[in-house]
Amino acid sequence: MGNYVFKRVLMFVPTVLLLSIAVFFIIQLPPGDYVTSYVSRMSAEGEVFTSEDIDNLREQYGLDMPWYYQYGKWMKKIITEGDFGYSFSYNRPVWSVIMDRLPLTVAITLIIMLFSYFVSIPIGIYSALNQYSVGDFVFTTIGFLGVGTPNFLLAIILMFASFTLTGDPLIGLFSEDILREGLNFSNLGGFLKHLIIPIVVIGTGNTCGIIRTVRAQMLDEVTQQYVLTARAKGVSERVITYKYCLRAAMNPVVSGLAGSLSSLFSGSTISAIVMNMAILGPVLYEALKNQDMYLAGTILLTQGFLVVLGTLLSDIALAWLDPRIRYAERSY
Amino acid sequence: MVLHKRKNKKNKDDEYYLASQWTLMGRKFKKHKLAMVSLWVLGILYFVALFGNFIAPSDLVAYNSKIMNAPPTKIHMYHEGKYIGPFVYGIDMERDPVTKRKVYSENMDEIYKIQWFTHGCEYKFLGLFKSDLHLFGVEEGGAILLMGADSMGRDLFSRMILGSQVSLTVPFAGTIISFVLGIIIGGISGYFGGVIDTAIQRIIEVLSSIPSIPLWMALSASIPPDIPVVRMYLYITIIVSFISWTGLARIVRGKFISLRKEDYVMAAKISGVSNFKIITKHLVPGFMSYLIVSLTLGIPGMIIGETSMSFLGLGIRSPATSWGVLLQEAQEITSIATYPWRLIPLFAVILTVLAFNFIGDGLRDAADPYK
Amino acid sequence: MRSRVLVLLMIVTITLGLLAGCGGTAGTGTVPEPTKKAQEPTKAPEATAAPKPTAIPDSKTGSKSQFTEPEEFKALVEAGKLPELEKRLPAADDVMVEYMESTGNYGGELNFTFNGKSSQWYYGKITEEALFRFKTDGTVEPNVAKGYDVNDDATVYTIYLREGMKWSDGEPFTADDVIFFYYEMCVEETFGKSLWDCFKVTDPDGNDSIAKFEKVDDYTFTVTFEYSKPTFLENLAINGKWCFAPAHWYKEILPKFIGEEAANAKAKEMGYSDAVAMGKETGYYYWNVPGRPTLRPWVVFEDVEHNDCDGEYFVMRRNPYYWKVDEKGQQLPYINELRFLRVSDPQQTLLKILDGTVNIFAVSYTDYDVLTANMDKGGYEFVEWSSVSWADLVSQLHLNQTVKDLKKRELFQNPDFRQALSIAVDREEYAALISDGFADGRQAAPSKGAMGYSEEWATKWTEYNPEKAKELLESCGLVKGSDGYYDFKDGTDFVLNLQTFTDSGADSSAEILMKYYNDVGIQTTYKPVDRSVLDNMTTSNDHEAVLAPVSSATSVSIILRPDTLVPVRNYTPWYGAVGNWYASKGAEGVEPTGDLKKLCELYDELKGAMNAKEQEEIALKMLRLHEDNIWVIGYMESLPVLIAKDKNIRNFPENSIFCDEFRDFGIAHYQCLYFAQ
Repeated sequence: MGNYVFKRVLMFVPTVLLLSIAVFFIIQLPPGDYVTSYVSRMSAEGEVFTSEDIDNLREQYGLDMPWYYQYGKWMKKIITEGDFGYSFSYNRPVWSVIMDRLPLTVAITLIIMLFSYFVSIPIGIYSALNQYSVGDFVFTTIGFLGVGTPNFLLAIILMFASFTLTGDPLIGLFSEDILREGLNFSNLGGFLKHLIIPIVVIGTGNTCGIIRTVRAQMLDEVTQQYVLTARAKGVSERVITYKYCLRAAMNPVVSGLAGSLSSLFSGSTISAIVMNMAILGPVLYEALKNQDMYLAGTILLTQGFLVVLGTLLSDIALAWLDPRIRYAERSY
Repeated sequence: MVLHKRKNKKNKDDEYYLASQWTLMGRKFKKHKLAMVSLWVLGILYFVALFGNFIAPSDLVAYNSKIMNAPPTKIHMYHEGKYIGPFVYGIDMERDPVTKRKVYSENMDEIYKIQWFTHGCEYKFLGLFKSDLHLFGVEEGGAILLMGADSMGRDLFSRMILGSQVSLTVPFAGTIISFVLGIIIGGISGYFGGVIDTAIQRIIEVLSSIPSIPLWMALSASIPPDIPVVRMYLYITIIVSFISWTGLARIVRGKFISLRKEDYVMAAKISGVSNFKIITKHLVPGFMSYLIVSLTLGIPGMIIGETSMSFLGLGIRSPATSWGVLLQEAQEITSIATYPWRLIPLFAVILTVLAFNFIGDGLRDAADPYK
Repeated sequence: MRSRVLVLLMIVTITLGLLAGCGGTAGTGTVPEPTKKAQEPTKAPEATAAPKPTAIPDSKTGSKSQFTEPEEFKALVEAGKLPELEKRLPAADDVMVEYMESTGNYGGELNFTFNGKSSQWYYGKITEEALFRFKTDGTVEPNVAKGYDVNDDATVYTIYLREGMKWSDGEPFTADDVIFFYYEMCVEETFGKSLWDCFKVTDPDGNDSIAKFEKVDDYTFTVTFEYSKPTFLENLAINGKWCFAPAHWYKEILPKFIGEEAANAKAKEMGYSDAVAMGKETGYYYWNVPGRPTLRPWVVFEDVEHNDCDGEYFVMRRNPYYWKVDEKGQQLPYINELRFLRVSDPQQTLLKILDGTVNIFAVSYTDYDVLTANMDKGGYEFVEWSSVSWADLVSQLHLNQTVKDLKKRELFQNPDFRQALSIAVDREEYAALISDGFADGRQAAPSKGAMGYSEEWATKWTEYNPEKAKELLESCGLVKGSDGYYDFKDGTDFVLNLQTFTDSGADSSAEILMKYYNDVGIQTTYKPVDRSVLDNMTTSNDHEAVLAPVSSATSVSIILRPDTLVPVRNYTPWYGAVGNWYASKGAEGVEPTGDLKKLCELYDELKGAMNAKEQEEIALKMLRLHEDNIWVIGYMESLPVLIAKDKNIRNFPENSIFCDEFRDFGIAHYQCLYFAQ
């Protein structure tokens, strides 16, 4: 086990490095750069730029060099000083922009993920044990609906419904009271109210996959020989279901954890834009549109890092869960 | 003697044991009612898409300011008590002088009978044959709007059908590419293990962490402008699918790792069967169920992905239509509040996705027929 | 609502009339009498009986009333945290008095939505206080300045400031701040911008020179030019807007005064990457820098919460040292604070308007129905302001007259081709589709009441005649190919490539135009690109036919802001590289021919014109050239700006003109708005 973990951790660094290169390349791929997008936005507001001004800006931001130089500079700064560069649009260190939103992003992602798992695993088990029952059918349909509805449309429909019914469209994660006074006990209700739509929109998309997976795996397990044997030996149904079958069934769920995290990050960006959630997704999208390279690069790096970390953790968890994998890792 | 026996009617049990895997799967699949229904539904959808130009009464560029945002036209059978067959009334548009809102009303004086197999706008069937035959339509001057009109007066029903031609086919291409890549690479990774496995796994990690949105944006911005929009979308889909095979690959690899220790694999190896053949002929059918399921579940994912791309303004753009484009146009408070019929494509998407999911479900249940 | 009748009667005529003969009215008030009297304004071109922009009464200087302040300040004064009102306002003789429809009462907040950094001009313009500002009739009046004098040949301007005026941190505002701004910041280019044109003048020999600023005393300074510059104040109001900076604050942070190292350290402390970035961010855009003193009615203060303009929510609070009062002596502004809520999607703004949170905001006609339906629930009403665009933004087509492909260039420069494109489109249908009936089809021309307007121009080439279009195309030398589309004589395909930027909203209009062009035989493609990419293309003359350009043809005043109508620099798509050619005096770019060259020559004449009358004559000639050539093709008139405004807000002009010179919403003088109780 230790060997396995060690080897995986060792692979961590080059993976992240490769990821950073890929990410940086993609960001600067669209034509133009931050200065061009900045100049055009400000010009639209009536500002006047001469080509001198533009050249000065380019120089100031260091954008007059080819992308691999910029990447090298950026990487060097990260490794030697821990300085992730400056965001051109916010004119603040990238890290401060990210730290503004990172806690909330992590919190919301965890809340939604926990919600999904808490809801879907029991449903999956129930569906498996009562296959083809009405309940199974109902939950299946709801799950499919969740994944089949384009989130952005669902979000705006719910916001409008909320406005029509209650007069408050529940935009964003915080009510205006919370924005003014900060989050405290008395206005916690506002926060919870505003969580409803995000959970419904983003969470339901997740639950479907988990339900189906758990259900399918459980079905596979329940027909195995050892279950029959256990039953014959008088082990209670409860123990069979939770101690034996579920453990095996968790295999794909756990390996899907990393993917779930990654998809939550990128998949929720669009919903986050529509619902005005103050998480990293919309910031990333704006940064990409404006070609704010260091900000976009750092956010993507962070996300990628978390995903790779998640994969690592899930592989370790998987290895712990299923000893076969540990042994299988040895060369053929 | 044994040979003759075959001609006799087999009994049920023999049938069961002698039937091929596919026959058994088919039978079990038929038991899953929802899956069967979904199969029919998809069949209809694809059929309609194939003959879309024929079935749709109008085309993608039929702008008409007189029926902008008009609600769906009602089909009547009786006019003033008399039966004259299906027809629609003319559409009148008035602006309320106070609120300046547009109000559409039926003009009882104008009757447009619905005609079958009429001649309407020209199109190229399958891009090959020119024709102007349409399943149904009304005379000049009238408009039959089964699902209302959009903000430029085009018939939403026609746009939806023509849009399905893109939405139902392009995701297929992408999914199949991912599918093939996923099996091959995942298989190699899982079968050989060791360094190859590690290397491929790391590549998978990098690729799967590449976020989709920046990739879409980068690709969309980099593809030159003179390529027709639908082809651009196809390219983007293909490129994206070169990245999205990772999910399947990981699962395949996991299964391979568990399965390659099986005896029959060992036997095959000893017999000298090539590695490639072992992978494709022996291991893969073992978890075919999972593969088929992921195939059918991948398509809806791509359909939703297409809608997301349209939301961001990448991908397909009017006048070329897809469901994503229609949804993006409906993404407005004004649409939801005042022109709710524009949300109908949403149900089409949901229906399709549900259908694919149920089929995948049915296949998964059916794929292990020996249970 | 159909055709919004614009009145820009006096925009140029009175401006020029008043300046004729270099006389100028000083700011009204008890200050030194102007040395020259105003001349009679020349008569405006025949105007129709159309409603004028709501006239905002002139402001005055000096007040004899008893001054009062809002409760919150009274409390602070009593607690000793704020000096008393008399000490905060300028001297009673010099305080500026805003006149308005009805004097108001204190209280209330204005809520806005914003989209991050790109909105900084939005809340910049509504709180702006410039040295001189525009009035609705197109003239300028003193604002931060008290008044001015100008000598006979318009080479020396003497500008008077208000005694006792203070920055938002309590420090005195004097001529030193103006001189400091000019020499330490403008000339040194501390905030990354080259010196603006308003401070330069070109003599008839083509030599450029810059202005000289000199302090006379604490509240008086002179601006001297080498050559006559009669429209200096207007140019200042457009280009230079504010011509001052808090010297005391900058002396603490600029490298010139505290050294490079200390400046960089200070910059990092404030959160900027280095002193250069800091200079740019605090010097040019400064209203969103907490702690930077301003003269504005609402300020983002330091050491208070919600002052992060890049965050989710920020508040601009009342400036206790604001130097304006109303006629009753109440210190302005009436409204307590401006609140800004960050959104990421325009639909969210719409929802916030519907639920009544956002009080004043421009809305789109496409949302008209849902807005009307919720009017009572949201508590708002509609106000319409006019726009001065020559045509609706998404209905303007700019054919690059210097397009790189020479065959296309010949074609684009041929008026018959432009006519063909113009008459190939059924404007009635087009306008009905695009504007839902709120606007009519029209050619790109000045709006009714603006200089140069004529009915003929507005309807030139607006018939729908595809047959004639085809004839014209053939007369241009195009030949119908086998695919049904026109090709060049030598057989190469002719494809018209329409370009625009992605958020322009031109998708629908492009679609429809494409259909009409295709029908008449012109193969057309359409590609929206990112705005920055389009700008790039324009700068390097790679663009072809731009629909809905950012810099669309408008004319508040072709004399003061000719950029979109005259090729003065690399800016507007239709004249392409001629702008380069002109700005570089022939060194780069493409030399114009024919009427385009005449246009440039006329502009040279305009710059050298001695008085307003001459300027107007030349301007009219320039506009006639536009009318003859229709370089910019328009398909629909510009829609008025529709504004949803809270029913309880008073003093918001019922009708005004939305343009950059008037600082968009700034002309509404937000400091005079109040909530009726």
